[in-house]
Amino acid sequence: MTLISKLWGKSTGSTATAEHAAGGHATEARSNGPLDYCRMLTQDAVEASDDELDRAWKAVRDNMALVPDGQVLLAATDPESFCDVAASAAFQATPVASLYLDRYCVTNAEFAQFVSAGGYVLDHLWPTEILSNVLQFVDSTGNPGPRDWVDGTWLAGKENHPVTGICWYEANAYAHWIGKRLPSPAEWQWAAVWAGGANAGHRRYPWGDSFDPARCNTWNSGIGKTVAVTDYYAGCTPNGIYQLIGNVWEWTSSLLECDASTTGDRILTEAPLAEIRGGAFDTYFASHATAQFRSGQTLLFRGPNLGFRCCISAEQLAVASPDPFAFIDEETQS
Amino acid sequence: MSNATEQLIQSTRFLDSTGRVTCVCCTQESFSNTGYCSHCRAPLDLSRTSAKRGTPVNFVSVLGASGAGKTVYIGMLLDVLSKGVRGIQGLPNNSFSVSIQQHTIGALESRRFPEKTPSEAEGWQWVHCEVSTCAKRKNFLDVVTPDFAGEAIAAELEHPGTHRAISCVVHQSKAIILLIDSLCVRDSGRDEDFFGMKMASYIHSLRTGKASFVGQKKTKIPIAIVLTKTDSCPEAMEDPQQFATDNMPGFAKFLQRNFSNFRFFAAGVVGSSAMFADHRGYFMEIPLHIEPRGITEPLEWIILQK
Repeated sequence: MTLISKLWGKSTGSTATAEHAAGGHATEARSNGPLDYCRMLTQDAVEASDDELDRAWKAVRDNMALVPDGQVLLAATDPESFCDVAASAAFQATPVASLYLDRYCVTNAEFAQFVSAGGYVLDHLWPTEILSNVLQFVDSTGNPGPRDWVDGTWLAGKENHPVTGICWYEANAYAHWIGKRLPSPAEWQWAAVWAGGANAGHRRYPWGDSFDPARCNTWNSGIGKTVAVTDYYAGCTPNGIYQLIGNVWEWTSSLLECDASTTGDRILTEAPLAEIRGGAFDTYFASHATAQFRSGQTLLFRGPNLGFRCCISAEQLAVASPDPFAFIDEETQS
Repeated sequence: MSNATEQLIQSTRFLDSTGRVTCVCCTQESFSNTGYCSHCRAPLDLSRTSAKRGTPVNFVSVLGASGAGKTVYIGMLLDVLSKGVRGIQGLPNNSFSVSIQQHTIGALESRRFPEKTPSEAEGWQWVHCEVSTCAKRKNFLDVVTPDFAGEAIAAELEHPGTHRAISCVVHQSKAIILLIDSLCVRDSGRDEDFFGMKMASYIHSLRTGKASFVGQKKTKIPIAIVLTKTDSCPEAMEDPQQFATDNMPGFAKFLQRNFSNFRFFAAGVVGSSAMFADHRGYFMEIPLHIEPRGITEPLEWIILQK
């Protein structure tokens, strides 16, 4: 029995969720192949059969998009730049290595598999300093799981919506469990703009430079709640990454750290903030839902407008395949 | 059209030719070249516009203590209404209405809160917004309210008559939106409770012409009590009525005893926030991103009370 499971007083994950999953609701509504395909291609590659590896690579192609390496311009975080969103002209050039990024945000159905697999009681997924908090990562009825779930399961009709009501630690725990990680702010931004070519550095949206409420779910769309992760095809990046802008903010791997200005002005926060990106269904200003816009939330925030997606470095998958880009050539030839 | 309105319009037309205007707020006459009413400091443009429209003016005033978020609330309300939401559309009727909207939205988009409203009446910006609904497109709710400074409201409560515009607007209002800072309620003792009691007592005495006493008939004016900044006070966001009852017992009881038509709401505009500290050690809260919640619901409720 793990330390957390002793603290929970339970040896497995939520019973309600396990029953729910057994009832067939926690189906892989969208994804193909095993959920832990990344782990199979990295840690378990030696023991896997060729057939298993083929299935895993197919799952990578179906669920993740390759983002080539490049250099992204991150908006500066000194107080002057930070508080002048519309006119921000100071940028920091940051290199990004190639990576595979989830095409969709993690859904309720996918996160349910983490819950029913006992994710909330696996010691190695949680930093020791937050063990007491893990006991409070419960839904509205006290079961381990996202804050907005009820009786250990998502609300009806939302299996394919992004999972929300999860804090930064829960997002990291899921990513670790599935063999991936959260993208850094630079990786997230580069994925949104790299296809802009010469203009990529300052491109504001995956589709171009002008805001278009028909391409993303923000306040201006008038929906006022999350939609399925497969909606808004028109807002995809050219390589098929959905909803980087709108629907839910997305946790990234890094803390939002603001630099002091040359005059000594500073931005301070009561508690550390993790950087979040992309805007959500309730983001009011189009300028707050661009590829460049940087905001933050406290690490334990479990809001209804904040989800996440995962990534893995292309270099890591290269261990399993000498040429991780090979399938692109295969698809081009076919 | 009511007789009173017709008389007001007729007198305005007559007086306009003689260089004088009847103020729509305090109904006193002023010379039109002064810009503001010499009695209550309301802009005379407001009176001219109202007279030209020829329909009754439905004042909805927005009141609250200093720092309760009146400017942000009014500015955001105007902006949301101008885009239209849930079948309600609002059109600013004068440049000063657009100014407060522009001032607030420009600040919030650039991660700042708008500057504090000056306590002098000459510095207040007056909002005039025609609100229509899909169901009653020809039936306008005419929202008129100045962006009062919280200090001026406090002074008026302590010494009635200090700021005549406040008593005039409250007296004329068909409904009142009362803003209460939920963070102050939660974290700063009972000051907001006492302020709420004073405010409710002031409204009650202005509407009935006498102080509150047991057994008196209740005032019917709709009052929407809006708990602001609930983005940082989730307990108020989840159940504003319960939060107010638990944390503002005096105010809640006063309302129950003296008003027959009131309701609690929760509002917030900030997604998350940080502090800006300048090199002199001056601290200022800044919003990191904007997510308006509960902004139009009080007005929607007021419209239903008509």
